[in-house]
Amino acid sequence: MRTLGDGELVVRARQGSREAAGELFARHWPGAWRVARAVTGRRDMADDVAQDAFERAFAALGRFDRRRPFGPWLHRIVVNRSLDLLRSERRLLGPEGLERIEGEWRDQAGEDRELLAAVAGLSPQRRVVIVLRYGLGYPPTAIAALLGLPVGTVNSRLARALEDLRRHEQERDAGRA
Amino acid sequence: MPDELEERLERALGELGPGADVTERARSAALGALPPARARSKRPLVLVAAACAVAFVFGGVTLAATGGGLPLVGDEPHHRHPPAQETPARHPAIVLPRGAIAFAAAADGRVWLSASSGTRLAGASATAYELSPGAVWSVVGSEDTIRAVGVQQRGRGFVHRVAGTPVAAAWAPAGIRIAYVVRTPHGHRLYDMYGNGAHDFAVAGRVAPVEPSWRWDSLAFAYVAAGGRVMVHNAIAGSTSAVARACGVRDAAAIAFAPFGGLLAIADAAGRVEIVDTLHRSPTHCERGQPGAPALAWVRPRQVIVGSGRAITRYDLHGRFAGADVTNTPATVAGLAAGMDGRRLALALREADGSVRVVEARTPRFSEASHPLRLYRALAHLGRVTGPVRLTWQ
Repeated sequence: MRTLGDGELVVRARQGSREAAGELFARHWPGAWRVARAVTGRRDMADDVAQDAFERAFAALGRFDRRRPFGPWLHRIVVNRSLDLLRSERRLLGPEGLERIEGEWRDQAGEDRELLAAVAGLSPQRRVVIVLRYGLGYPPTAIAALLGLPVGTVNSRLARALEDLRRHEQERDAGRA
Repeated sequence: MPDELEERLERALGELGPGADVTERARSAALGALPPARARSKRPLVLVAAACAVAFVFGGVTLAATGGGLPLVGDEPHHRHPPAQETPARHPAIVLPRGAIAFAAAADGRVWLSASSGTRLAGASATAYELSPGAVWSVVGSEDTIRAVGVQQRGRGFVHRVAGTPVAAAWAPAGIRIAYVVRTPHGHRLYDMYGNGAHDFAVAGRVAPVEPSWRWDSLAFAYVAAGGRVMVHNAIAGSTSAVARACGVRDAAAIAFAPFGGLLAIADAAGRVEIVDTLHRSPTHCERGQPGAPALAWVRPRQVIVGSGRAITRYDLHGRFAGADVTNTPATVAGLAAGMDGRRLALALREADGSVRVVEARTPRFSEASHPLRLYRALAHLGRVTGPVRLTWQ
């Protein structure tokens, strides 16, 4: 059976095919959730953000330009919703709430736990590019298009984020020594 | 070529995954958000055109026969509706409280209304009911539709198809927006739309069936998410904020914004009350009242009354009488509303046999805790009502 592209699935979903919409969901849900989880740093928030993004995307399928890729469009919605929620949480929860948000990374098992905690400690702008680059594998040019930023800005944020993470690793190693 | 750190990042981020239950729930919600399928055939259009032509011919003939007495049909989706007073009365009517221009009680899918214009409803069917500011209009929910019906005068309303059965609606104080909750097979969903029934916005896919509450400036409203958490949605920017849980309120059952400012009162069925300032970093007030389904009514910008169990508690957030006073009620509080000046209350009181009567009472003053509630008169007997009673005083 021929595997349909996202564009064809979008067309069929618009025509009312729940199978096509379900296939779109199955393809993109893990990535969308991963972005939401990594950007917000919280599982409960990621559940809501990713679901909300999908609902918005599906409700707006009629306006979607099928010549453009579906994934980046969805991920842009996820990123924007995540940042909106983080901004509002920062305002309403205050610093104590943010500490709690970052603390939730501690449920990750294995050696990557501290690395994810360090990612959660990055500024939201740097966290977003890290997640899109290494969590979803987007090249910097695609990240730039997705976020509406110059490529140079994306490269700069990536470099500074990696620098922050390396510094964090060095400090951790020094502390252990 | 990726270095070790980049490889670890790819591995760690790639291992993040959602739970199966969340995935299934999100899948259902996403599929439920799909727009209606586009028509593939022109056949339905032909049928609709033929029906319109027939209706046009017969409508013209009927209009000629009745002297033009039929309501006009406006542009889609607006339709003209008869005013509410034409609904036949099957239940005792409700009395207009002193100083009110309109007063409504809604419970168990029925609505009672009395307006100064003479409009009356007595036990009419409505899954959700809300008066507009100034009680010029009302929105009436039924099946999969929200209708705007004139209250103070005959006028053009709208009919708006919604994605489920409306169970709660809240009109913004400026009248420009309506937030509403619908019940769907996948749970309750929250939308808001313009006050003329146009431009629907999906706000949240999983909410509790609690009536939203608008902030005084009509720019934002609060609602309760499915997990019981209170959220504030900015209707202009489209952003949503979670309200911090500071008082142990886990499952909010009633919310109400103050008539001015950003104070938001939140109450749960365990009697916990949280009054939080959503605009400034003011201290959050935590209170504890009687357990029971709560009802909230602000009587001043910084004074709120919470009705639950067999008591109403008045909380004052500042001033000489800062604190809380409890006044016992003769029966269980099932609904609460305050008059425009805050001096009078309307209370729905549920007796032991389940029957509910609506009474008008004086707002208790501070340091009157030991005095009984002063009742002015009965406004209505609603009969046996199982659910909460929503009272609206305009």
